[in-house]
Amino acid sequence: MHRKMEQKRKNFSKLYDQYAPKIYRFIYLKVSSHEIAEDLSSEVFIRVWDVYREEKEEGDRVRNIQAYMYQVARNVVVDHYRKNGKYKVVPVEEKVNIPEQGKRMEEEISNALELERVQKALEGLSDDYQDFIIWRYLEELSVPEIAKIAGKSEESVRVGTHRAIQALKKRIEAGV
Amino acid sequence: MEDKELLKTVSILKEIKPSQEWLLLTKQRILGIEAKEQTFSVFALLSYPSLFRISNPSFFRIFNLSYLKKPAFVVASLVLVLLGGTAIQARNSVPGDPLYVLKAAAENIQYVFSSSEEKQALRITMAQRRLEDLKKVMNSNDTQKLSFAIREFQQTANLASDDFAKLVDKEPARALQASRGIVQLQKDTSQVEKILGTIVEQKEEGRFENAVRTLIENEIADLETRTLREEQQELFLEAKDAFSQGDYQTALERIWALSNIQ
Repeated sequence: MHRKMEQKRKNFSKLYDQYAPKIYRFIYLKVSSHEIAEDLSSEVFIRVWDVYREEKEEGDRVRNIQAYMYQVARNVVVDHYRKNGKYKVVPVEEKVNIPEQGKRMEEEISNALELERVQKALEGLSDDYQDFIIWRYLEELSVPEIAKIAGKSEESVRVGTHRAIQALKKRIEAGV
Repeated sequence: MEDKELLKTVSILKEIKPSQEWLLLTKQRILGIEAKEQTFSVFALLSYPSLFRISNPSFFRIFNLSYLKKPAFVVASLVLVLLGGTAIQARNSVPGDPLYVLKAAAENIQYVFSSSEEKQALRITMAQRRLEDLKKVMNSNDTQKLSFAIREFQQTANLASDDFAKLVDKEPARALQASRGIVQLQKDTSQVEKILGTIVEQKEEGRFENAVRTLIENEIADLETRTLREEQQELFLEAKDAFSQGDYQTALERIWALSNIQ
C-alpha cells in the first residue's frame, strides 16, 4: 500500500510540474493578482491530489485529468468571484512575475507595456471567450481537447474561438 | 491588425509564469501534508509496540495470518484509524484551536525523523505553513487567535532563519538552494505585515542579513573563478551591481537565474 501511495505521489508530482504553470497562468489572466492566482492554483492542486489519493485503480476516477484540472480551475475562479466580486483593485506594488533573463531595460519596459495592453483587452472579454483564447493560443490545446474541457461541441469551440479572437482584436485596436 | 500579428501579440501572455519558489513550496506543502499524516499514524503505532508482540516467535508462525484476528492487532488498527481521522482534522487547525497542538506535534516529529538534508527545507515549509495559518486567522477576524498565530509564526520563522544562517556557514552549496525558499518567505511576510500594519517577524538583529550577505559574497567569489556564458555574464554583472547597492534580493534572483542556465 505504501508503494502504491509512493507511485501516486510520483505521478502527481509529474502532473504538477507539467500543469502548475499553465493553471497559474489561466487563473492569473482571470483574477489579475499574483497572490490570488497562487492561492486559487494551490486550491486546484489540493483538489486534484485528493482525487489521486482516493482512486483505487489508476484513472478510475478521472478519465481526462487535463480537462478536470481546467474545470476545477474555472470553478475556483467562479467561487472567488462570488465571494469577492469580479473586479478587483490591484495594488500598484503587485506585478506579474516576468522572468528577467538578462533582457535590456528598454525591452523589458516595452514587453511589460505590451503585456499589460493585451491582458487588459483580454480581461474585458466574456469568460468563455477568454477561455477559448487561453486554451487555443496560449496553451495550444486542440479543438477536441477544448471541447472536452468546456463540455461543448467541437463546432461550437471553432466558432467560439473565431469570435473570441475577433473580439480581442477589436478591443486591442480600440486601445481598450 | 492581421490575425497573425494578433496571435503574435497574444503569445506575449506566455511570459506570465509563477515564481519558482511558490511552485516548489506549494508542491512540498501538498505532498508534505500527506507525508505528515502518515508520520502521525506511525507515531501512534510506535506508541503501542506491545500490541504487535507475536506470542510464538517461530519463523513459520510469523507468516501465519491468524495474528490478524488477535485483539491486540484489532485494537492497534482502531487506534490508527481514529488517530488518522483526528490527524486529518488537526491539519486544518490554526494556532489557538484545540487540535493545533496535535498538528504542531506531528510537524515536530516529522522534523526529528527527517534527514539533515531535508531539515532546512522542512523548517522553511513549517514557517510558510504558520504564515498561511496567520493569514487564515486574519481573514476570519478572530482577534483572540491572532496573537497566538503571530507568536507561532515568529518562532518558526526565527528557527528557519537560524537554520539558514548555520547552513551558510557549513554548507554554502545547499544554502543557495535554501535561499529561494527563505527569500520567498520574507516577501510573503512583508505582504502580511502591510495588511496587519505591524512588524510580524522579529529576528535577531542583523543575523539573517549577515547570512544572506555572506552567501552572496561567497557565490560572487565562486563565480569570479568560472567561465560564464554571455547570458550568464550579463546576469552576473547585474548581481554584483545589485549587491554593491545593498539590494540583496535582486542579487540573489540574478544568481539563481544564471545558475538555471545550462
